[in-house]
Formats: sequence, structure tokens, C-alpha cells
Amino acid sequence: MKRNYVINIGVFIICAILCLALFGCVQQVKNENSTKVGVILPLTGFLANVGKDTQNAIELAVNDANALTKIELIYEDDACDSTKAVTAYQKLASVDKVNFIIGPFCGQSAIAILPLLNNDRVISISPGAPDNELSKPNDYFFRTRIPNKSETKIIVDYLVSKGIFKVAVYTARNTFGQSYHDSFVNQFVDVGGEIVFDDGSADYQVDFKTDLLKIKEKNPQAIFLVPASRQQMGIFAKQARELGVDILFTGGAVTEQQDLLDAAGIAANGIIYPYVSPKNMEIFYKYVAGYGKIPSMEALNGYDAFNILFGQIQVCDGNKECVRNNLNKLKDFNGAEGLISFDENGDSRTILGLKQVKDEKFVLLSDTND
Amino acid sequence: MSLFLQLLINGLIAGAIYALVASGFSLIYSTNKFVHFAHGATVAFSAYMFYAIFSLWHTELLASVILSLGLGAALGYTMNFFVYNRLRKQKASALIQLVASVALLILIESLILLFFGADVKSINLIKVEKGLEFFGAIITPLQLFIVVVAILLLGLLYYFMKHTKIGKAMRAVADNKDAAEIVGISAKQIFAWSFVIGSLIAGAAGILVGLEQNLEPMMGTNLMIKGFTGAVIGGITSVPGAVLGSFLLGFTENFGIWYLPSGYKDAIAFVLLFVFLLFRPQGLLGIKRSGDRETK
Repeated sequence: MKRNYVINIGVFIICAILCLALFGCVQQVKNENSTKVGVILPLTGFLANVGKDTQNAIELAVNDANALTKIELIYEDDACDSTKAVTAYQKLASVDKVNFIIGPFCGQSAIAILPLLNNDRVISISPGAPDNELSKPNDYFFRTRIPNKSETKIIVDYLVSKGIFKVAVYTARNTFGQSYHDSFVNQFVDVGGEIVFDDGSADYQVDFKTDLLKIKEKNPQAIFLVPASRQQMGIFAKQARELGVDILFTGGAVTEQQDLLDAAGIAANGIIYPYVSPKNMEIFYKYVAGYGKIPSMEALNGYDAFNILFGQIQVCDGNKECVRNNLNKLKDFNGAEGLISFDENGDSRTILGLKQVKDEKFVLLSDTND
Repeated sequence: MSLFLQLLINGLIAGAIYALVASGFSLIYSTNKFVHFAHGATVAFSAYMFYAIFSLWHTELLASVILSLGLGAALGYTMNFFVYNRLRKQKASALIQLVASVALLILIESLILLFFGADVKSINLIKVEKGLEFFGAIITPLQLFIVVVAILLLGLLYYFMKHTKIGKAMRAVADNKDAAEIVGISAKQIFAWSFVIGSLIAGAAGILVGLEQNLEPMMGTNLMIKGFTGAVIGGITSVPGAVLGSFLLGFTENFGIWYLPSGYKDAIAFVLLFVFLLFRPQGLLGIKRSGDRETK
């Protein structure tokens, strides 16, 4: 028995050493003559599908830019968890020695690593973090994702234009949802609106029937709905229809994801949300052809984030201060979602429109300037 | 009145799903005497098999259900045969078996994620529309079906345990394995049967949840936590207790979040669990024996 135990331990140690050696060899081959770029995305967890979409778009951008031999992408999974994001960043910064990162995708992850980015002077362009707290000048963080406050403003303006002043708010109980919640509530109350119901969902919640019953009792004219995932949004919409909750649904720009249509079906019809209308439809259709589904807004943001970063790395020959200076001055970059400029906070300024789910498709409702 | 009735219906639907998960879990625990967390993986596995067979391969509905349940039962049997039997041979403790079950849960859910992807899977069997109204409360035909099927299955399980030879043998092994073996009952065969039957019921839960709420790879873990909580509340070695505890959990959650923000739903469940652990650790229908935690 003791001999078997010793043999088993020995075999395990030998296997572990072989795996590490093989991994090291593979890494050695990939390291030469290319600039390393870290990518922090949620590849597992409740946002894994959106993280995967964004990864697909980044890969598409790499191919389109013929950057395979010039850029080495190092993916790290943070599962939209701030602790894992810090671990992922530390691995990229100290082991892989990257100077550039695409991501993190989630706001709470970006907030967690922001001080580290600034301390280590590592440049990050996020395709997905919409939190208002990330709007800070003179830092190393940029984002192709529009901040929450721009999205909620267009929704508030729409509701007011329709004479809707009694609204229920239902957002995710995390920093992502809280940021949307605070932006919407502040802007809506400022224009004389009334929040008749205010609550939120946990990340993995799938039963909203009692919440919907509470909303029904308050009789709002509309609901501002941004749960943690589009699957949740779809299930919420489906259960709302089943319970006879017949009010206008509005959401954030994150609404436009295939998961919503898969989860809700016809129950998604009528949802109104702000959206950065894709201007470069060639990329949009290329993504559809390559991956069999429409790209989410964040996926297109990821496509643009890579191209913006790659372009500056090429111009500056990898010098990160040069890249940062150029990013601070970025104006009218021709991206998948139209012309992108970064303001003094590193936030994206793009044209926003309103879209609607109609006949289980995402269609344009209007086009307005921000 | 309609509000109370609606909350009752909401609790009934949630309780029915928890009860299906808890009853299978409790059956396995009572005979095998360890916590089989991978029971949640069986729920997810059966749901995804149903999705693959019915939605992707366009197989007829009844055949899809039977095949999915069969595959779920086969998964349970396989886990017992290849993992837990070996651990029992090595006289592994219940703690080691629990650790193995957690590893199996993670492994199977990771394989589901690998093969099916993380994006939402829907089994669009019934058109989404407003449910049926009874005295002001609303329930959809699918939700009604879930409750009826759950009650039927639980009734069948109860009959099986009380009136069939294998059911009685299972209860004998659960009560005292050594005494059962003395009278000629093969504990090893009973362990296998418990996994097959428990996994069949888990499979039913997975298919019903998949129809109602869509599929995602982690669905089993979340349900397992609720099922486990319901089982402990009801009496972890008592299958009827697990059912009762699960319905109590469903009602408490839904009535609780009527008065509290919905974010407290899980907190309500765990407060209820702690209350029972502190004041009645044997659960609702468990019997406390001196020197033992609980038995029935």
C-alpha cells in the first residue's frame, strides 16, 4: 500500500514536470518578434457567452489586420469577478510583461485593476466596462464602450417624450447594474420622473415571478431593465408576458445580444434600448458569416479596441507612452461602430441611436447625436 | 386573495422543482451515506441531452424524454460504478466521497460548457403567452404541467419505496446496511439502484427546468444548492421530508421576497436552513436517535 502510494506520487510529479516543460516550450516558440497584448475577458461564468463573442471579434480583427505575426494575444479569464481580474492582471503584468491590455470586459473588474494599470503604466482599452466611475482623466484606461450615463440619458429623453413619468427600475445587484441604476434614477428624477419600484436581481436568478407581481401592483408605465445577463432579461420578459405585465420595457445598450432572443422569443418584442448603430456593416456581416450569430455591441467594441491599439502600436513601434499620448488625441477613428473619438477621460464618444426588438429582430427606431 | 393565491402558486412551482432535485438527492444520501453534489450535474446533463435529442436532432417528444431520462440514469450509474464503488473499496470516508462528488460536478459541467458552449439554449416547445387565470392568479400550462408531473413522480417514488421489493431493500440499507446484508440484501446493488432512480428523478427535474427557464451549464449547481437546502430542512435521510422541506423552502422564498427586496431570496433560504440546523437538525420528518444525527 505504501509502495503504491509512493509510485502514484512519483508518477504525478513526473507528469506535472512534463506538462510545465511542454507549456514552457510552446510559450518559447510563440514569444519571438511579436508584441504581447493581454486580453482579460469573462470566458467562464454568467457572461461567458458575451466574453466568447468578444474574443471571436478580436480574433476576427487580428485576421483582418494581418496581425498574426505581429501581435501575440494572451487571454486570461476573469469570469467577471474582480478578484480573478486582479490575479489575471498580475499574471499578465509580472509574468508575461505586457504593456497593453484589451479589457477587462466587466466594470467591476476594470475598477479593481485601474489603480494597478496607472501604477504600472500599462495601457488598457476595455470593450465592455460601462461604469461611470471609470471616467477619470489622465489615466491609462480607455474604452470603446460608451459610458452608462450616455445610454441612460437617451432612454430618459425618450420616456419623457412619450409622457412616461412613472417607471419601475430593475437592475443587476452588482457594480454593473448599480452604475446603470444610479445614472438612470438620477437623470429621470431630475426631469420630474417618479420611480415607483426599485429592486434588482442576483447574478444567477432565473425566477422573477414574485418580483413581477410586485411590479404589477405598483402599476408603472414602463420599466428600465438591466439584469446581469441577457438570458435573465429574456426570462424576465417571458415571465412578464406570462403574468400579464403589459408595460413598455427599456434597457441598456447591452440589450442587443442573441441570448435575449433565444431566451425570450416573442416576449422580447417591444423592448427599446440605446445602441451605437454599426456603420461598417461589412464587419457586422463578416462576423455573422463567421460565427453564425449577430455580434453584440461589446463584440464590435472589442474589434475596434484591437484595431485602435494595434494601429497605435504600429505607429509608435510599441512605445507605450507614445501610444498613450496618441490615444488621448484619438479623433474620428473609423471603427465597426462608426467614428470613434476618446474624450479627456478616455471615454468613447460615438453616435447613439434607439433600437427596438421587433418580430424577434433588432431594428433601428431612430438616429440621434449624443 | 388573488395576491395570496399568486404567491402560493409561485411558491408551489419553485417548490415542485426543488422537491424533484431534493428527493433524488435524499434517496442517494440515505442509502449511500454521503453527500452526492454531482446530482446537480445529472440535472444539467439530462436537460442538455433533451435539448440535443429533441431540438437539434428533431426526435419525437416522448422518445426524447425517455432517452434523456435514460442517459441521466446511465450517468448516475456510471458515476457510482467508476468512482464511488472504487472509493468504497478503499474504505474512503464520507468526506472523501463528498470531495469526489464536487470534482465530478465541476468536471461534468465543464464538459457541458465545452461541448455545448456558454450561450443560452432554449427548448421552444410552447408559445410564450399569458397564462391561465384562476381567481385572479395566473399559471401557464407548462407551469401547471411541472407541478402535476412533480407530484405524480414524487407519488410514484413514494409508492416505489413503500411497496416494491427494491424500495423496501433500499429502506433497509438506509436504516442499517450491515443488518440488511445479513438478511441477504446486496448493498452494492442497492447503491447502484439508488443512483439510477435518483438520477432518473434528477433528469426529470432538468427537463422540466429546461422547458421553463432555458438551459445554461451552471443550472445544476444552483438547483443542487436549493435541493440540498430543502432536503436538510425536511430531513436529509427522509425522502418525504426532503419533498416537504423543498415545498416549504419554495413558499418561504416567495412570500419572503414579497416583503423584502428580491436580493434577499438566497438569504431567506439559508436563514431557514440555519434555523433548522440550530433548532431541529434532524429536519421536519427526520427522527433523532441518541448517538446519531438523524435517521428514519
